[in-house]
Amino acid sequence: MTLGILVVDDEPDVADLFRQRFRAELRTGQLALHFAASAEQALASLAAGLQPEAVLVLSDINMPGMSGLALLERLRAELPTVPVVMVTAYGDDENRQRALDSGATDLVTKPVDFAALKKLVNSVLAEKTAA
Amino acid sequence: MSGPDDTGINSGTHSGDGVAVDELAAPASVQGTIDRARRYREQVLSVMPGVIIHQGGQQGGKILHCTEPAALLLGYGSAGDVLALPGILALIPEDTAFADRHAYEQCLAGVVRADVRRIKRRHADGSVQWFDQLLEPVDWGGAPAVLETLAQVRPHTSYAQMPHQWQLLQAAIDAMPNGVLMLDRDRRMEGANSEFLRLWDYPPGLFPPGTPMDVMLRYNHERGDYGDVPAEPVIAELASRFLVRCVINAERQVPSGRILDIRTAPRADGGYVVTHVDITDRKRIESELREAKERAEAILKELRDTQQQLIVQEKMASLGQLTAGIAHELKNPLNFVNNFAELSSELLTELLALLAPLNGHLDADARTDADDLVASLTSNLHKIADHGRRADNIVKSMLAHSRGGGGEWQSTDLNALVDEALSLSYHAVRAQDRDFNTELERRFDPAVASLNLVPQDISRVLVNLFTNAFYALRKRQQAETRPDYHPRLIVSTVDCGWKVEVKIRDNGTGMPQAVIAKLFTPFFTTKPTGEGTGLGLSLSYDIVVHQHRGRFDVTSAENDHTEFTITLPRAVPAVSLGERRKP
Repeated sequence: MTLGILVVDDEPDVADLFRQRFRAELRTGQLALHFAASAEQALASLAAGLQPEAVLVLSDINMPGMSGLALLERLRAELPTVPVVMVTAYGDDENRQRALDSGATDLVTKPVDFAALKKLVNSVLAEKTAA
Repeated sequence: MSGPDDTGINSGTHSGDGVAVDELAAPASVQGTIDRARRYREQVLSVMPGVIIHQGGQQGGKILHCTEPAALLLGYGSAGDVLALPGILALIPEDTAFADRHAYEQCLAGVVRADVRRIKRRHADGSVQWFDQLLEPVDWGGAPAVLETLAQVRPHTSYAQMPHQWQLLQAAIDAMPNGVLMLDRDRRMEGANSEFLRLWDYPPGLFPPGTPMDVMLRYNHERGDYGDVPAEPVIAELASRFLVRCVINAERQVPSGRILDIRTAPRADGGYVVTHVDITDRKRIESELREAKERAEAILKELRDTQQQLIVQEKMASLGQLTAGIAHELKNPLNFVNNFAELSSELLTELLALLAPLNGHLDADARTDADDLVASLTSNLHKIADHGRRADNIVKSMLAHSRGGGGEWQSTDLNALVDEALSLSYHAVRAQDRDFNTELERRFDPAVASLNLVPQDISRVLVNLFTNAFYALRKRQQAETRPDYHPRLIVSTVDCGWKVEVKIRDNGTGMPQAVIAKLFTPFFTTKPTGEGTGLGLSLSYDIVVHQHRGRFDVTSAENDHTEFTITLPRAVPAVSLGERRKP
């Protein structure tokens, strides 16, 4: 079974980075990655329906247009079952707290530690598969 | 009133002849005799001195007793009106108050003067009139009091023989508000007015017309006006001023405490007119103005200094903000560099694993070349990763500038904090270099005690300064050729009441002026590339000056010493200007 992850970040190179980092999982078909360059685009693709379905959203906070925190709030309201992991900046305690208060499943700090992120994704996915 | 009697009695002169003539004429009626008796009483009263007993200059000088003649002299209807006054000072014009108070004090102290004082008193009608005065200490119901005898001013016997024109002139100069002394061409006194006598505190009658000026100067000297100096030179010097025949102005302080502007003007006939103007009030106002000006100038200077400091602070603050901004902007591209470098290294390993079976198809030379290239690629990727990490550390320290610190303000024992930071830094530097050793001297002032600060941040500042000091000591120790050089670090704390000072002095390499000027600029460092970020002191400055509202001072001499002084106020305003800049 292939599980979809939607990565929301305004940096286009994030797509390459994630594809290469998760290349093993992508090759085996365990994971499929979707990318959105803005919060608005992310909401649009989720509404249009992604194949395979996104079971996890990973979003940056500081983006032009709608911020990651606003996206988080919308997703909590519209798709309460989809876990959302927020990427926060180093030392930005204020946003960390706001993200947790708004119902983020977890937080990862930039620069992203992919080993830790993989573990996190796996645990979320494991929960998903079990459910 | 009727009859010829009026003319003589009311003539109001001091001459007794008129009275004698009138008294000889026979009264025309009973009423006439009664009037005559009343007028006689008035005449007697007018020549009788008035007596007032009062408490002297202290607490307004309550008037205890007043005789009828005294009340009449001063223009009051009865003695009761004088007793109703708030005190003797109400009768004294302002400009003479100092001298009169002094005279009362002397009298109460038991000093009896053998001569008469010429004084001014406020008349009931508001005018100021001249009187001659005698003072005597008396006992009034067990308490000391002043017995003051007042008499109308009478001309000196020698004046009475003067021609009528002279007497008119005398009356005119007596009415002048300034002291006037007239001298003839041989510098003998021709005349003086009452204000002159009062200003110099000369008893009336002391210097009759014709008195040589030298006698007056000698009198001044004997009573101590010129201080404890030989008489002749002083008198000769003062007399010599009259040799120059032009207007001379001089300023002098007279025994009454007043300051006089003395103007000596030569007359066409060879004599002199010396006028004395009391400029005490003008002097006082001048000195008050001067003091006010000096105060204003001092405040202005302080403002300028503060402004200068604010400009520096603002510059540092904007640099700090810029630094934080740059750090934020650099962070993301740097993440990609680090991530892709790491990934590429992994990909290369995978690629090599994939290509391993093909190794056998290459000839020896190509194999060597391929191995070389792979080794170079691997090493390059490691270098990219290493330098990326280094850049990442710089970015992290830059961000520390703007980071919302978790540090809390708390009452902290500063001496303990300094000591702890010192040990920490010393162990850190010894861990790096076992050979390094320095003398540490702690001069902690116990009066510093506790003050409110953010201990984590101040500790960071201290560790920073200690580390720098150890670095400078180590550098000098390595370079020093003199065998008697001993590295030494003196750490002192000083309690200055509303503020405290921490001084850190090392006898290391010191710094040239050019380095001191840039000391607090972010990224400025004298350490070799890779050893320092150049952010330590910039960050320390931010913590001390912006967050704690303190001061950061430094003095240094090359190859001699460096001394940092941190000044922290005991009370920090609740909201500090640059306390925490949000990123």
